[in-house]
Formats: sequence, C-alpha cells, structure tokens
Amino acid sequence: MSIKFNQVYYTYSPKTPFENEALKNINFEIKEGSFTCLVGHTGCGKSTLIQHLNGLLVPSSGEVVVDDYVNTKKNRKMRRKLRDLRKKVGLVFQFSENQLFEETVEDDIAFGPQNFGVKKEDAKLIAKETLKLVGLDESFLKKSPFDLSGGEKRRVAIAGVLALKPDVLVLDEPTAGLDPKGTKELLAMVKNLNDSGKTIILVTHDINIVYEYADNVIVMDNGEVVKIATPSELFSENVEKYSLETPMIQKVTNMCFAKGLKLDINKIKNLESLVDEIAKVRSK
Amino acid sequence: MNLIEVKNLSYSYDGKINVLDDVSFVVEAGKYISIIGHNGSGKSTIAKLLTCLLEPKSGSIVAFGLKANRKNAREIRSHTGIVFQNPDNQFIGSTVRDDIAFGLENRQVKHEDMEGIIQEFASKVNMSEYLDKEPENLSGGQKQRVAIAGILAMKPDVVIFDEATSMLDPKGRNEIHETIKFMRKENPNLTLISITHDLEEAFASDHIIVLNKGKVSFEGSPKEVLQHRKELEEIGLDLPFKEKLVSLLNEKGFSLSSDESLERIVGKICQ
Ligand SMILES: Nc1ncnc2c1ncn2[C@@H]1O[C@H](COP(=O)(O)OP(=O)(O)OP(=O)(O)O)[C@@H](O)[C@H]1O
Ligand SMILES: Nc1ncnc2c1ncn2[C@@H]1O[C@H](COP(=O)(O)OP(=O)(O)OP(=O)(O)O)[C@@H](O)[C@H]1O
Ligand SMILES: [Mg+2]
Ligand SMILES: [Mg+2]
Repeated sequence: MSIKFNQVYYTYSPKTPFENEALKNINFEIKEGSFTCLVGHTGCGKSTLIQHLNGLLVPSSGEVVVDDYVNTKKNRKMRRKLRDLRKKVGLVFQFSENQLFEETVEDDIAFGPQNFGVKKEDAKLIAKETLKLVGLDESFLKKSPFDLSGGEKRRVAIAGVLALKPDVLVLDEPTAGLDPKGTKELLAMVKNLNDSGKTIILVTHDINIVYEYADNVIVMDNGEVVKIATPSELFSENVEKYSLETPMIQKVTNMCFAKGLKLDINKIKNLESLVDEIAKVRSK
Repeated sequence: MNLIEVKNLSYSYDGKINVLDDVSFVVEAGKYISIIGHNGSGKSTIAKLLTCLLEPKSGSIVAFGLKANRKNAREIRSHTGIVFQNPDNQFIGSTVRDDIAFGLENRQVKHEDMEGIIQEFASKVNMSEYLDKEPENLSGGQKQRVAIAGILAMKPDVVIFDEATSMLDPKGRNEIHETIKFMRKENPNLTLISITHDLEEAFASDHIIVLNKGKVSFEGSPKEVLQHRKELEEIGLDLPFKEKLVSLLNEKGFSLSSDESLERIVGKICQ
C-alpha cells in the first residue's frame, strides 16, 4: 500500500482573520513496509500533515492517495469509503490520552475492533492481548481510563489503535510521557510490526530515535517539506539549518573521524554497534 | 533555607492502595530539583499534593512555613505555579493573551502593567505572534510553550513542571531552562521542581529524587544518583548517553571516566 502526497496545501480557517496556511505544496511518496520519521520545528505542520492520512483533514487543494483511497476536496464520493481507510490507517494522536472516553480500559480498547464488526467477546480478548503489548498488566482492564497516570493513559490510547491491527501505523510523538523502559519497549514493538510488513510513520522530536529506527526522514519547516533523505544522508550534513540536532551517536562518530579513527559508518546503528565498531577498529 | 518539607507523606486515591508511601524530602530555595520515576510511580500525585489539589492522607507537607491543607491552599498557591502534564488541562482564556492575563489578574497585577508582562513572557517562549490565537488551535509544542509562559509570567517562587516540555525539541527545552536561570537573577529564591522522563535533562539539575512504586528509592546530586546505576536500570530508568557510552566502552577494556567531557573521552578513545 503506497502513500502519495500530490501538491497538497492545507489552510486552517480559510477566509477568516485567523486564516493560516499550515501546509504548502507537499509532495512525497512513502513505500509500503517502510519506516518513515517526520521531523521539524514546533508548529511546522507535522500533526496537520498526518491527519490527512486517515481523512481527518481534507486537503484545501491537491490530493493524498493511500492505496485506492484518494483524499481530495473534489472527490466527495470517496468519503463513503472512509471507514475502509480508517481501518487501514491507524493514527495515534499527539495527546492521544485526550481521546479516551469509555468507562473501563477494556471497553476503550475494545471499542475500535467492535466498531469494525468484531464480536464483543473477541474484542475483549483483543483488548487483553493489546494491553500487554504496551506494558500494562490485566489489572488495568477494569480501571477507569480517567483514573490513570499520564503515561498509563498514553499506553491505553496506543493500545486502542494497535487493536485495529492497521496496515499503516501513524504515531505522533508516542514516546513523550513514556518512561525510558516504556519508550524502548514501544519502539521495539513498532519495529517488530515494521519487520512484519507494516508501514510506519512516526513523528518525533527525539533525533536519536530517528537515527536508530528510520529508513527515511522527512524534514519539514514552516509548512513545507525541505528535505527527504535516509538518516545517514541527512546527518552527514549539518542539520542545524533545519533546526535539528545531530544525534549523539553521529556526534561521537564525527568526533572520532576528526581525530583520525576511521569507523565504518554502515556498521553503526545504535550505541551498542557504535561501541563494537570502536573496539574493533581500535584493536586493529 | 527549606522552602518545602515533605514528611512521611502517603496518599491513596481509592482508600486501599497507597500510591505514595512514606515519602519524605526537602526542597531548598533557589534549587533546581528533578523528580524521575516510572509511569505510575506517583510523580504527578506529588505535584498535586504540593499545590493543594489533593490533601495528604497521612504525613505532612509544609510549604513556605504553612501546612498544606484546604485552609492554606490559597496562600500556598500564590507562591506556586504548576504546568500540568497535559496543556489542554491548563487553558482558561479564549486567546493566548487572555490566558496569560487571567493568571496575572489572579495575582493582582495592575492593569497597566499587564500587556507589558504578557509581551515579555510570550516573547521568552517564542510565541509573540500567537497572542490573538485560541490556545486549543495551537500545535502540541506551541500549547506547551503558552502554558509555561502563563505560569512564569505570574513570577511564582516555586515552579512545578509536570513534563511541561515533553513535546519540545532539546533546543526548545534549553531555552525554557535559560529563561528560568535568567529569572533567578531577579528572584534568587526561584525554585524549579521538574518532573521528567528525559534523563539528560534530569542530570543537568541540582538534585534528583528517584521514585519507585510510590516510594523514594534514593535521591541526591546527579553524581550521587549515578552511584545507583543498577537500581536505576532495574526500575526501568535509563542513564544519560555519556554514562552509557563510557560503561559500554569500559566493558570492552577501555578505562574511561564519565567525569570528563565527551570531547576528552573521544580523545582518549582515539589515542
Ligand atoms: N486546529 C487548528 N486551527 C488553526 N490553526 C492550527 C490548528 N492546529 C494547528 N494550527 C496551526 O498550524 C500550524 C501547524 O501546526 P501542527 O500542529 O501541524 O504543528 P506540528 O509540526 O505538529 O508542531 P508540534 O511539534 O508543536 O506538535 C501551527 O502554526 C499551528 O498554530
Ligand atoms: N485519579 C486517580 N484515581 C485513581 N488512581 C489514580 C488516579 N490518578 C493516578 N492514579 C494512580 O496512581 C498512581 C500514581 O499516578 P501518578 O499520576 O502520580 O503517576 P506518575 O508518576 O505521574 O506517572 P506518569 O509518568 O505516567 O505520569 C498510578 O498507579 C495511577 O494509576
Ligand atoms: Mg504536532
Ligand atoms: Mg504524571
């Protein structure tokens, strides 16, 4: 299932004093089964962009194509197929905990599957399984989602989207508010889904996550896409001009290079492989 | 001087499980304290108790010489500003300007001074151009910036950040901390209690309190807390990048110290 943005523009509150062009001429393609990170400065348009993927927002002009669904202002008939699109594309919002609404955690997670025709009992089973995936035990099933801590709420909200088993998983800052262990586990799970063929689109300010997980990075600035590259291409240049930081691993690699230690950059994916590579090159 | 003293504090939401269990710590005036701990460890509950949104079930909190209870709530809140974990729970005004103004009115700031203060703090968080916008129509990071501006503008003695910068990039976070440092020149007692999952951020503070399942596991300066590496890992917390790098390299036979700068460490690796 490929995803394509063709000359997409989006304006909030058009023809009012609050008019705000949040997306300008967005063009890119995302391949099925890839892991894409979307990055850029506060307010550059990331959340606006991803809400076009499941039809929550309709482009002011241009089109977003997800498989056979064409999200465009012109083609209103398409909106009848919105349900199919929502089943294919799961979207975890930036403050996804705001979307919790059911009386129990179990009902909240089971709501989505039931909505798409899964029987109540089966949906409850799915809820139980999915809750495990986000690191919460069964004792949470009967709790009210409103009586949870911030990070616990976030986990429940993520589980609610995972329960739909979408082909495309879009996550907007999912790790903000998770503890370090929860962050690691979430990313490992997302990577697993990606390895099993799911398409992942992840919005994050954590450049170290981008370095470690992304196949491709889309950099936005002020409503526009300013760069599309692999992490190694992107971070080999000075990324300050995109108001991004250089990932710590890249910084160390660069410092080693400057001091004459020639590491094989292709072997370095995370901290462990960086240390392995340093040890290997030093022992020569 | 101790601004806040928390003694044998316990709290339960349901009358059965203590989500805080015999917690004690002190907060010195003018310090930057971090509270770290796993999801559900009780951090936000502490923040709500410190601002009298909840009342202690047993034990006590004394803040600014006043016992935290309903009677003293107003007085304690007049010294304390809290930025909640979710900025959508923070906003009252229909525009960013009104929202900041609302807090100032509460602090009896004179009307003629208000606009200047609003401009000053909006600019400190890079939100000057958004004063006429509705808070709910801002991006995630913009909401957090506005929530922070609203609290700092009231010039409280104690600022509590409950993951107030979680949606900002590292540069944005730094700018906020620089602003607080700057404000401390005017008010040397300005104290920051920051609840965070960002270990790099926590280890840049003066003092770290580590919570685990409602109890204080240990606390101390970043250096002291680093003596507890094993426990930190066991309770699912992490170490700053430099610490992890050095300990992994030392496992490979290097003998490096994380007290040194990253530049010097890399220098030694490459020798
Ligand atoms: N509902 C809305 N109505 C009007 N303007 C909006 C709305 N939501 C966002 N905006 C504006 O559109 C622009 C893009 O916002 P968006 O939420 O897409 O940014 P973002 O890249 O996700 O930022 P962040 O990293 O802070 O979450 C911002 O200037 C924001 O103020
Ligand atoms: N309103 C509530 N009613 C009942 N239980 C609650 C309520 N709020 C929180 N809890 C429970 O109290 C415990 C502590 O919650 P708290 O919000 O203080 O955690 P936290 O350390 O802030 O976690 P996080 O990092 O996820 O924000 C958790 O187990 C949570 O489920
Ligand atoms: Mg956003
Ligand atoms: Mg919390």
